[in-house]
Amino acid sequence: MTLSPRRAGFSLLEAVVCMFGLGVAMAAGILLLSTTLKANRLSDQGMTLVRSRSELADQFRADVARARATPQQRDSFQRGPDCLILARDDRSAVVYQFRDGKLTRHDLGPNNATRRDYPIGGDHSTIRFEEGPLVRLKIEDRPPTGLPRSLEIAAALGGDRR
Amino acid sequence: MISRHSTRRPGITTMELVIAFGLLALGALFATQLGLDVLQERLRATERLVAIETVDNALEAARALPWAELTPEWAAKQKLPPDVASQLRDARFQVQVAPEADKPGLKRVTVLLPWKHADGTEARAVSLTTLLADRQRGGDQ
Repeated sequence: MTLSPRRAGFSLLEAVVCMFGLGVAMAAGILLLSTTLKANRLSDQGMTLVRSRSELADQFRADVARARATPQQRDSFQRGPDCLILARDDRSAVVYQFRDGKLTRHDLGPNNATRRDYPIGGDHSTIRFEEGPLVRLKIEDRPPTGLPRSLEIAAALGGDRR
Repeated sequence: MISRHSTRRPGITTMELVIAFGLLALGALFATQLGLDVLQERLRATERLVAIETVDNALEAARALPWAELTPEWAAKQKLPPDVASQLRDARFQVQVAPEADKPGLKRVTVLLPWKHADGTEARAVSLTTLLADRQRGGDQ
C-alpha cells in the first residue's frame, strides 16, 4: 500500500459548485412544496365556496317558500336591489341584506332577532335581488383576472300555495 | 487503517446528474399537474353548482305558474338564461311537462341539463323531476 503525500480533497471551486447545486435543489424542493400547499388551499377555498353557496340556495328557497309577501319596509330595513324583506304569516320576517361586501340573513321573530353572515366569495362578488312571481338572488363574480361568472337562485314566493 | 487512494478523483457522473435532474423535473411536473387538476376540479364544481341551480330555478318557475299554464307548450318555450349559456359549454336545456297517466290532478315536470367540460368531455348531466298537484281539484286525487 502506498500513500499519497497530499490528502485528496475538494477544491474551493468544487465546494462552491456543490453548495450552489444544493441550493438549487432546495429551492426546487421548496417551490414544489409551496405549489402543492397552494393547490391544496385553492381546492379547499373552492369547495368551501361551492358548499356555502349551495347552503345559501337551500336556505333562500326555504325562506321564500315560507313567505307570503315582500313588504317595502320592516324595522330599519328598506326593500331595494340590495335588500329583500320576506314577511311571514306569523308577523315574523326574514331579511337578506347585502352591504359592504357581506350578505347577512336577519331572522326577525316576534320576540327576538338573530343574524347570520354568508360568505359569498370575496371583494369581487356582488349580490342583487329581483322580485316578481319569482324572487331572485343573483350573485355576480367579477374577478380581476378571468371571466365574470354569475349564479342565480330563484324561488316561488309562497312555495306551493299556488 | 491505511487505504490506497484511487487515481481517479471522486465526483458525480453525468448519469447521476441526469437522474437527479430527471427526478427534480418529475417532481415539478407532478406539482404542476396537481395545480392544474385542482383548478380544473374547482371549475367543474362551480359549473355543476350553476347547472343544479339553473335546473332548480326552472322547477321553481313551474311551481310559480298557475295550474292551467303549466303545459308542454310552456315547457317548450323555456330557454337557458344567456349568462348560464356562456358558463356551460354546449349546454342543452330540456324542460318537459307531462300529465301523470293514472292521476289527472298531477303533472310531472322534468328538467334535464347536459353540458360539456372545458376539455370537451361530457359532464354528468343534471336532471331533476317534481310532481305538481292541482290543489283546487283536490291535489293528487
